[in-house]
Amino acid sequence: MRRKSSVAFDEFVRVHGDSLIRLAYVLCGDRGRAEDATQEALTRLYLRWGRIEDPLPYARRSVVNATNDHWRRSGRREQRERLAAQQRPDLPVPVDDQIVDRDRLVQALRRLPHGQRAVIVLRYWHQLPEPEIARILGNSVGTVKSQASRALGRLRDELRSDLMPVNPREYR
Amino acid sequence: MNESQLIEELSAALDAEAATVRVPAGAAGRARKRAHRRRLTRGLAAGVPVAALAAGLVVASAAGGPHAPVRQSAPKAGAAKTVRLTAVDVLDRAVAAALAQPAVVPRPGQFAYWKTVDSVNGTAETWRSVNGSRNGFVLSRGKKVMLWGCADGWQTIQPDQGSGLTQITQRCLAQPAYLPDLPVTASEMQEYLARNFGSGLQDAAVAQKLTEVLLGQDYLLPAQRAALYRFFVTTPGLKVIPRIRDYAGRPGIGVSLTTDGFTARWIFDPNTFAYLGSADMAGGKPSFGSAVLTVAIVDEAGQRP
Repeated sequence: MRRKSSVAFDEFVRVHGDSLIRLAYVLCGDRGRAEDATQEALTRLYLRWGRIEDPLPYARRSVVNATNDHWRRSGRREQRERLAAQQRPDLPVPVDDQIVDRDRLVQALRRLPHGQRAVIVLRYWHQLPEPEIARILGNSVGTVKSQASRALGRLRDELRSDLMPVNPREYR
Repeated sequence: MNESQLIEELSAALDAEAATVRVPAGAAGRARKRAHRRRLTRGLAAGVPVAALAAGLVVASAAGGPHAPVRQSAPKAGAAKTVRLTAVDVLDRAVAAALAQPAVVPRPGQFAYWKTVDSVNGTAETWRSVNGSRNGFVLSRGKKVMLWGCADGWQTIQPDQGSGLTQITQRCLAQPAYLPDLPVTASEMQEYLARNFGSGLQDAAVAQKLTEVLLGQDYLLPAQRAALYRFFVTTPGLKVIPRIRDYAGRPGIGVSLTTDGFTARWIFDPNTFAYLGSADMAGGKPSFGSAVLTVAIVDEAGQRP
């Protein structure tokens, strides 16, 4: 019985592993942390394997929580430093406009609070329906809707402010 | 930028951002191990007897050899060392032993030669065409069994003299002894095996195929053999067998995997960790035993190294 469940678990990881680690990566922005978070999520999943009817939402929820755990553990100071580092431009080099735009979008997403970021990623990247997102995040559908709306508004604001001239003093 | 444009751009940005991120090989195996450890910790906290959960086994081995087991305490001069080795330890050392061997890359027209002894064929010598195009054969129990070559999708089978049968030319698939595209990394090996034999080693057919490969049905370069062991290390359910003999009677240390009543047992030299042979069990009884005595590359079928 255990062998069969191991095979099913392996198959689950084979099919959904990349999608889960990519979810972790876009939520936390760090490959190492994404690997850790995914590994933790898979471990939690395996501990409950066979007792969960639909493992994918559970795995997604674990990934979201694990990335949030990492975020919390990393401490506010480190967060500020990391965000500052992410916002600090390197020496100007000629790059593709499309890459710059995508980078701005991704950075803006990462500046959102974790909950809003998760809603945006699950709703618009994974294209999950709101009730399923609510189930994954343990929220109500109303909360998901309002978070999505707030997050989109904030993303637009962030992008607008990105277009404003930079104050060089911020980067000294 | 309106809302739908923003969402579209964001999706494209995240697709690009995450495109190269992939779940590491062996993540499922590691998750299972961690889960087992957590269960174990919870079990210990709940008062499960520790002795029943002890991992690893005690193995006695003679000193020496380039990959001799790591000693846990300073041995007395000339005394045998006592070490604990797990199945993973054995395979790690087998990886090192494989990689320490020189890589002899065969040429397409050559033959891989094996001298083996097993429970089905007795002592046998096998010459298999490296790329499958030339005729090879097996000498076993005084008989010669041809392995007909397959060149450009065609093979010609010559009947035994005096059999009254005529020569046959037919379509065929080459059976090369050496697979140059066999992966040299564990993750690629996993994909290769999954693609060819099933989703994992828990599949008995895969375990059996691995036994065959290790036995010598295929000629492996050191890096390919190491990749196979590295992939194998990630398999859950591996057990160590501290003392076991191969079919030639050589003492070794074994690694076993049981799937659906079939137990594949691979045997390694306890000092050099070179592969010795197998001693498989089916339904609790020995089903197949083997020992690899010699492996070499030669120029012609019938030529001995």
